[in-house]
Amino acid sequence: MHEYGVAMEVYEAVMDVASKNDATRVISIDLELGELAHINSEQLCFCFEIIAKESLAEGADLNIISIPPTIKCKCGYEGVFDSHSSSNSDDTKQCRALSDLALNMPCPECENSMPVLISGREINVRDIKIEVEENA
Amino acid sequence: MHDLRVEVGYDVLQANEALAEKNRRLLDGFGVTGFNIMGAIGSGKTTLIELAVEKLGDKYGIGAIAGDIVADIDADRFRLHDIPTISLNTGRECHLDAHLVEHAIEQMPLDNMDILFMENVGNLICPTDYSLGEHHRVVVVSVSEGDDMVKKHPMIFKTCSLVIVNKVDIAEAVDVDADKMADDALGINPRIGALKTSKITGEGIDDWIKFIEVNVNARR
Ligand SMILES: Nc1nc2c(ncn2[C@@H]2O[C@H](COP(=O)(O)OP(=O)(O)OP(=O)(O)O)[C@@H](O)[C@H]2O)c(=O)[nH]1
Ligand SMILES: [Mg+2]
Ligand SMILES: [Zn+2]
Repeated sequence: MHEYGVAMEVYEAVMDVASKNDATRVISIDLELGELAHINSEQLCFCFEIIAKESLAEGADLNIISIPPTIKCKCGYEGVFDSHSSSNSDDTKQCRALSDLALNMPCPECENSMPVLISGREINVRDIKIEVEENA
Repeated sequence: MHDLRVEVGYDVLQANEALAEKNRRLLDGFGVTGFNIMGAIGSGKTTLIELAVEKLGDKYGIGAIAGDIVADIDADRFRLHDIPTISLNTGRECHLDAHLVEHAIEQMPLDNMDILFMENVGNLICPTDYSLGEHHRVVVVSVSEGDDMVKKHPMIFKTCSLVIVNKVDIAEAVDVDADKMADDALGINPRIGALKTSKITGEGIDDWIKFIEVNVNARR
């Protein structure tokens, strides 16, 4: 969908922190990506690779940490949302999970309350590993 | 040389949310009510905004932001109605975001405005995740997209306060039940308002205008 724009923002966030820390090179990036974030991780990596060419982040490893949707209910239940899907296609799984959530699935524990989504949509640049000069 | 791990903590959607809140406060400061008009491609977003401008233009100051992937086609339609219009070409992007809108509203005569219509890019998925700084979110679908349109894209209906099922004049011709589309939206989001409209017969247009006026007056 909008992987290019997101990759651009990731790049800017990475470069900002890298230059503030006098990095000579960005080695790797840990990115938390919610399974419901409408972002295809392969496309995101591909776009990032292109954007980062000829910069400090050229060739950096973009590690995608996939975050499953987690729901929380008033009754105290908190757990990973299971989209009752045996499909291994990411897109299908994402669609199922989204529509189940949108269709007001009751809490699996108490069955009378609607849990809220507390994670699973993040696109979060968590941290980066950089190389710095010894005397910097 | 040595390696160092540094925290970044930058979340793309949260960053957008923060910027959207800033836009909202700016609009608040000028007493402007913002409407984010989302919906399927060709469902009638521009038409419904044009109708609103025709009916409310004498009473309220209205401005529009038109999000088109390329060209200025929708923006030109708004300009024909003599309202301040900013065209946002999103290029390859499939949604408006708060950053684009921030730059657009900087150029608008907010002190002469009461209403800002933000026509999003025709897409039922991507705009869902990106607030612009609007006060009300409206989703427009039309019968020509087919009966199952709503069920296939539930999330957007969950985040909107009004769904408009447009082009009901041709419902029979395309063999689609407009009531089912409205009911599906209500099933997903019981709090959503639902209208069936047609620019041809005029059905529902008064209710659309009323929705806008009630919400604008409520904030004055
Ligand atoms: N029959 C019928 N046609 C309509 C109605 N409303 C809009 N249209 C037509 O549908 C077409 C698309 O309308 P627009 O208002 O441009 O739709 P849009 O959602 O802004 O389209 P994009 O911005 O391109 O996604 C135009 O040819 C309109 O004349 C309606 O109520 N009935
Ligand atoms: Mg349009
Ligand atoms: Zn519960």
